[in-house]
Amino acid sequence: MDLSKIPFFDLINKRLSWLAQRQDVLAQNVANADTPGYKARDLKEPSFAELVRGTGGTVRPVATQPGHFGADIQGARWAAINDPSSTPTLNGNSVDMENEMIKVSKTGIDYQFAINLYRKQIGMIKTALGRSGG
Amino acid sequence: MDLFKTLRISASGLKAEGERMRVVAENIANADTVSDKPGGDPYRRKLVTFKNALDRVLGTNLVKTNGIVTDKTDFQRKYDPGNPAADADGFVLTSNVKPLIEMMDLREAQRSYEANLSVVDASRTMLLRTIDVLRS
Repeated sequence: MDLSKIPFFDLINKRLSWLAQRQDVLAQNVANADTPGYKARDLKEPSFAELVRGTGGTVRPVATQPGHFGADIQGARWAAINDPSSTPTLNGNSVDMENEMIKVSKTGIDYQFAINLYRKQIGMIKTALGRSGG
Repeated sequence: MDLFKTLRISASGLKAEGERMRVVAENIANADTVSDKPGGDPYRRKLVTFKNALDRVLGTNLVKTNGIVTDKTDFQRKYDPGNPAADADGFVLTSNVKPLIEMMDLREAQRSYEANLSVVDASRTMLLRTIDVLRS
């Protein structure tokens, strides 16, 4: 059984990879908190409609040359945008440390939330299978 | 995997802040260093700058130190004719290290270091949660 064929698991999968990538971007922001001219970035929140349609705002490569391979790659990434809520300081750096910390912890909580949903769903499938009652 | 990449990014931040801390320590330690010959230049304050550079192995941007530069501000002059470093008029050039600025810099580096550490902690928790799924 391919779990990713079930829309819910596909959704959770996308959500987890979105959160992991967001953590990546936030880590870059925090690491660059003292880099002159660095602009804080963030990931655009994917809209529910996009997720349901399966497009999810991911960046997909476009075949512009005949030699290019199929444009559907594993782990397509989301586009990082400049954080609109930040204002640059004198040295051109726009990282707001408090804001980043809040985002980091929120990402962690959302991640846990998605993981728990995943476990619950697995449990339900186990119940339906009638084995050991998940 | 993205979360391992996150750890590497935070580690690069920690390394950069550590380097900054080292330079600050060097400045504080050398605050009273004068020249060894009469009328010579004393210790010049050093500064570390950061840049955001692409790491080709990871395929992501890491923080790197952008070389160590020296502070161009003027030295202080002090009248001390007995000092071996004094010039013909009895003035000694002393370093342009200002302890207050160094302490500020030290604190800032410390806070940034802590911030990176908490990101490491958050990413680690996320990784552990993922591994926990295997147990259920």
